[in-house]
Amino acid sequence: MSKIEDVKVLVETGKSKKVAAAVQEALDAGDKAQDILDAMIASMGVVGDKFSTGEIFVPEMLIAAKAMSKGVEVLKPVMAGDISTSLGTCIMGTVAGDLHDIGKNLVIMMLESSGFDMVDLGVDVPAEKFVEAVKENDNVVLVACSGLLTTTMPALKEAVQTIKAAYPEMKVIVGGAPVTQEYADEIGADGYAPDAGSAATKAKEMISA
Amino acid sequence: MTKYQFDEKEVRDMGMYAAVPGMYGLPSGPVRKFDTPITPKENFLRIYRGEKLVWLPNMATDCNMLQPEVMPDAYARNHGGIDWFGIEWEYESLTNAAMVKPGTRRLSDITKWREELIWPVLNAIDWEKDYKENYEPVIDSDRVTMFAIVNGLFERTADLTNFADTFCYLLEEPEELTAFFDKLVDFHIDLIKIAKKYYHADIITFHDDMGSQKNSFMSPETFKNMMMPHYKKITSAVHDLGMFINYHSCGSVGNLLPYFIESGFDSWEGQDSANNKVELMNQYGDQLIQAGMIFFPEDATDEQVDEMIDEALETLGKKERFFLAYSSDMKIERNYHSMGRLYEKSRKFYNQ
Repeated sequence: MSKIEDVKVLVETGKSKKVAAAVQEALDAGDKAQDILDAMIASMGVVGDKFSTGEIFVPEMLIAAKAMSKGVEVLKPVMAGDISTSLGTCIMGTVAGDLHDIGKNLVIMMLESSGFDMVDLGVDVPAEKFVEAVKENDNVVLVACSGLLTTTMPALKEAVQTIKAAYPEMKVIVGGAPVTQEYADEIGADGYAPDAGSAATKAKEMISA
Repeated sequence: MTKYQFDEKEVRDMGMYAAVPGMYGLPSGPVRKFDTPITPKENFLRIYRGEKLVWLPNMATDCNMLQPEVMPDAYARNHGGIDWFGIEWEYESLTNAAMVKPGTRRLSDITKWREELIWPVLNAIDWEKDYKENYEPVIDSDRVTMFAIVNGLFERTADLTNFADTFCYLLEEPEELTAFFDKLVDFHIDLIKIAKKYYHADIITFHDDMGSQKNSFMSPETFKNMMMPHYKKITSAVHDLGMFINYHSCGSVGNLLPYFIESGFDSWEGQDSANNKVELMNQYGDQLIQAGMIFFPEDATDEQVDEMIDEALETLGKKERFFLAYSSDMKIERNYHSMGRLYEKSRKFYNQ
């Protein structure tokens, strides 16, 4: 098995304590950092798909994301300044009035593992703050808004519409327990994902459309 | 088996049960009393003993639901504040409950639990005084008494650290987590003994949410390896004390039900909106009682209220392995009538 294949398997199985050494070995063996990164991103794609189909569960997905992050730490100094490694910046937050962060955090981990630079605005984020974040950050390609409560669904709508009013071309993805594709369409979001695994796939699809 | 034919006099005005301080910080008030042929407690315990029901057990009318706020866990969860383990909770008005204050963390890492945690001293609380002052005057011994323990093993770990880390600990730190759970189980068993000794509980409701809207948090295998051995100790302790145990576990957790059964839980209080509870009743009802909810919409007609009751009885209620954990009419002034309809229709249904 090639060194890159080792890295892929270690990411997919969430072996965070072994990944860094394996990435270093792959680099030492002459593999290109970009190829190693691409392999890890591909592994996370597999992990996301397995999660979406119920083959694996949240813990397995999270340890894979953690392993990927350990691998990226080794690659970062090698790839410093190479912006081609990033899919762009994604701004994410839980909408106003909603303090729940579990779903948001899972999505952040998965999007980060897919190659996005994530900006986490936290919870209880007013609509205007999403707009400010788009303005303040470089290369923003996507805004992700999360809401767990049925009572904060209007805040989700306000967030999407405020972002769209300020940046009509900006892609906005929404999600959360009470959110459906129908609701996402109704409030003018460009995308919807039912879980963290499919959020990564959907996000990549949206920015390449 | 004695048959109890319904008699119209059972739903005559019998007055109300006194308000018992409510669970989960919810307001409590007097509830309707019926002239029942056996006591509500006896009927409620029948479901747990696998015996024939006389009517559909309904916690709203048949149960003293206790979650003494003298327990820091209860107070903090209901109103915000610091809980038994030093976790800071923040009240969130939209859900009318508190959640761990975002961004805070009581335990730096599960491997540090021995050094960083200060374990609650349960005998520092005057339980007898609390019972005598707040409960004894209002508790009716004709009703079954249920004692709620929130923040179960998984939830407690997530509250102390965060959800993401707790998920990882399940797979990456099984030894440390097991050692921590062992100690936590001992704490819960001591609390369960208090619930029996001072509050005369018949049923313990033990909270530990296990799923998201779409799936269980962890695989059945992880549940079996990491949760089940500890739950077995808790359920055995409850049964040894002559009580029953109701497992409150929200999320889509149908795939875990065989393990809930193997863990020794007598009933499962699951999330109606995340599970196909009728299908699960058909599949597992013989081994696991289900608790569910019925809320009559404010704009429902009296006929629609009756239809909802009929549907609940014909589907979940059919096996006599279902009780109402919560029931209420959103049209407050009709609640007295609706609770009466629930009682009367289920009396007739179970005694045809």
